[in-house]
Amino acid sequence: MPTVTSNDIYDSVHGIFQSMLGTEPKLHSAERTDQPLKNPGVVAIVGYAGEHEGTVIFSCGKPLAASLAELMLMEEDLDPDGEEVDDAMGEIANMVAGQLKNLVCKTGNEVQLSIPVIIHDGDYRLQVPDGYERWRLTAFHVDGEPFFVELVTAGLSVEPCA
Amino acid sequence: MAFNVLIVDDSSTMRKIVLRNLKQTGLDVGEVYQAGDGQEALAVLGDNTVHLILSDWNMPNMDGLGLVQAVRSNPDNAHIRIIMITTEGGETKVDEAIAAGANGYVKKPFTADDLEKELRPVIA
Repeated sequence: MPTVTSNDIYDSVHGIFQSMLGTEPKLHSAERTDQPLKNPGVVAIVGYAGEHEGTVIFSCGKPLAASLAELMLMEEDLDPDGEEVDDAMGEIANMVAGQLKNLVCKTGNEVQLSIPVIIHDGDYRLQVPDGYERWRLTAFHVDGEPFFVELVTAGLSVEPCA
Repeated sequence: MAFNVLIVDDSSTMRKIVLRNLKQTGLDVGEVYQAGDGQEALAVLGDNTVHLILSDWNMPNMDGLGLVQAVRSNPDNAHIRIIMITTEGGETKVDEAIAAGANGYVKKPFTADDLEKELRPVIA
C-alpha cells in the first residue's frame, strides 16, 4: 500500500500557494477524522480513480476564496460567487490532487483525475463509505482565514507527522 | 523573431496565469491565442500562424494528448513546438506525451522561471 505523510500533503499545498499565489499558508493541524466538515462557503472537489481511489476536497469561506482567486489572477474585487472564483478554486483542488497523484505514482501506481466540481453554500454532507478514511488538513492563509484540504481515500496510507 | 503562442486550457484562470508567466519570461512573444480544448485549438491553428503551443492535458472534447497527436499527424505543423503544462506529472505521462510528439513538459504548479527554463531551448 503506498504511503504518504500529512507533511507530504502540506508540502504540496504549500508549494502550490508559494508558486501560484505568491503566499505561504501556515499549517494548523492534520488529522484523521470521522466528522464531516460543514460547508465553509465554497468547496472544490476532484476525484481520482485507478489503482487507488479517493477524493480531494479544498474548501474555504467565500471571502478567502475570492482573495485566493485575486492572488492567482492578480486582479481585484472579484465576485465571490463569480466564475473566476469557481475556476480558481477548481484549479487549486486540481493541483492538490495532481500533487497527490504524483506522490502515489512514484510507487508505480496509475490513477486518473476527474474534472473539478464546485459547491457553493448549502447544507451538504459528504458521506464516506466503509473502508475509506477521511483526512483533514487545516491551514491558515496569511491573513488568518482558514482553508481545509480533505482527503477521502482507500488503499492509501496517510501517516500523520508532528 | 517573435513567436506566436497558442495557450490551450479549459480553465480560464490557468490560461491567464500561463499568459502572465509567459510575459514575465522576457522571451520575444508575438501574437497570443487561446483555446479551451484541443478541438478549439485545432480551429485556431487552421486560421493563424502559431509557433508554440502550451497545452494542458486534461480537457473536455479533445485532451492535450489528442491535440499533440492531431497536430503531429499533419506534416505542415512540423515547425510547431508543443509544451505540455499540466498536473499529469508522472513519468509514464511524460513519456507518452514526448512519444506522441510533445517537445517538453512543465508541471503545475510552476513559476515564470520554470516556464522559461523549458521554453528557451525549445524555441531557440
